[in-house]
Amino acid sequence: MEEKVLMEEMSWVEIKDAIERGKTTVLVISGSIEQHGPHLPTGTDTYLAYEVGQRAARRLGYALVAPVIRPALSEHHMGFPGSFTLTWETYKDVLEDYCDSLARYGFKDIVLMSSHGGNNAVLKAITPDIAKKLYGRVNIHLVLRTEKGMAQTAAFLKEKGISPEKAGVHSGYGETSEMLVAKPHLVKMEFAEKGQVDEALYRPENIPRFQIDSFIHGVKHFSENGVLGDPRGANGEIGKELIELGVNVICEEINRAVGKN
Amino acid sequence: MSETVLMEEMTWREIQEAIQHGKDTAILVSGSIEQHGPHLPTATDTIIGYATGEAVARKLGNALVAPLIRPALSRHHIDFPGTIALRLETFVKVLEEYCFCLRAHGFRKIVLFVSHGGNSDALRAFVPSIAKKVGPDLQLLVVQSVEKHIKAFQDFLKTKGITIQRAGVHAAFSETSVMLALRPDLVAMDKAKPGLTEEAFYRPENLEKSKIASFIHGVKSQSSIGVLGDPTGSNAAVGKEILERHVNDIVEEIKNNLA
Repeated sequence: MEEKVLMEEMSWVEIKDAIERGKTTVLVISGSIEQHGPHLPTGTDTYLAYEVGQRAARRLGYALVAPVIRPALSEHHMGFPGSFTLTWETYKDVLEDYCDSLARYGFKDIVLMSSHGGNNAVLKAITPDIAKKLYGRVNIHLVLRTEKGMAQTAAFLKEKGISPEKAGVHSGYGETSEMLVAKPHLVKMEFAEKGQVDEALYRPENIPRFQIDSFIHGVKHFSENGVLGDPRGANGEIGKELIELGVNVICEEINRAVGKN
Repeated sequence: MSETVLMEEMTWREIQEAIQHGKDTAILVSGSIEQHGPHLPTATDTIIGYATGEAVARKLGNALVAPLIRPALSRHHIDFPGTIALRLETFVKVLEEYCFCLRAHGFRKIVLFVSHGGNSDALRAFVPSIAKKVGPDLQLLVVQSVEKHIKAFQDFLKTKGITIQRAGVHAAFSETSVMLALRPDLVAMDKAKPGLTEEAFYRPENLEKSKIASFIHGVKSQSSIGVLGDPTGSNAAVGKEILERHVNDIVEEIKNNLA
């Protein structure tokens, strides 16, 4: 039996003891409830957040995982049934309420993270304000996927013969492979279809433009089935390595953020 | 096991098809992330809320369950580590934005109820104004007030010889028994201890006053371990029956109120 790190599975006494024994960092991950193509559930980002958060917390040894924030910012997926979105103002309020609650229990560091790219820009914009409000009570850090991490992932997939447009950025080969590890019983490979696979869109230098366009026009404009990439042939073994790669980079970044090395 | 009714486990096409085939009702449960004594996890209300929502949706046959709202209104438990509380204003905004999302996807009815008593008054107070904002295309119905639910399990447990102060209202015999039926792996019965067991606190005519005292002074002032009632001797079979009765009451109320 592995050690519990999900706060929602623990009693208040277990949480108190864990903090007193040195688990003074809490990971607050923003996920989503949004469409993930014809083969993945709308809870995909949330399930992956728990998977990565749990692995990272165990690896770090000094962290607990807060209940994943969801829904979050998914306006660009609202063209598909089952997507939920908060306005960014409400999302910020939720985040502030989380931090205000967590600041009371003896945590020294709150690490804000995201398993859904659509949250990242707003998270980056609002974190300083939240950190200022909580100043003196708890340190607020933001750890998002780094360029280095994304380059590592792309290099790993290339080595396996998976192009960036197949790997995709939403419900493609990469995310589907990870879900085959996190929640295999919720993946319906028989319904996996190719989505948007225009190579140019996935070049690293074009990704920011692509993201803004998908916010403006909605994901449906770029992909009728909601898939950005191509999930066919997704593979749990590769998914495991992708998750591990991600966890490695995240742990390195968290260690740096909270000053553990 | 028949196919899932939880939207978060479904793909967008499955949800679209379900709505097109007449599943036009969304079940929206407000739970919590808050302390539940030394023996239950902080997600207790969330776990019970999902199980209740799922069973209600299956019985109705024309409903899907939205991702449960949590955290919510738990300010009165904030003295215990692990509790996460939203401000009232935040909670109401979240509720409203959920309703707009559900309307956008074509649901015609939303049934709202709580798996955490602390949310009950807010639903009653704010759903009418949300209903007005979302407009006539969407019917909103709040069912099973927490008072009604407490009265129902108090009466039922009396027939099993369990007093109202043992049945309790938070992390006590009633709730712990339900958790033993749902997630025994997350219940530590060896840590279960009696909390506040003063009989007068739980009398139906005093519950409103007791609740306001919790809100003003915090639950910690009423029980240092966070238990209102007595969880010792909790029983999974009894818990299963409490849950079934609750589900039946909710379904009946929905059928009486929704065309």
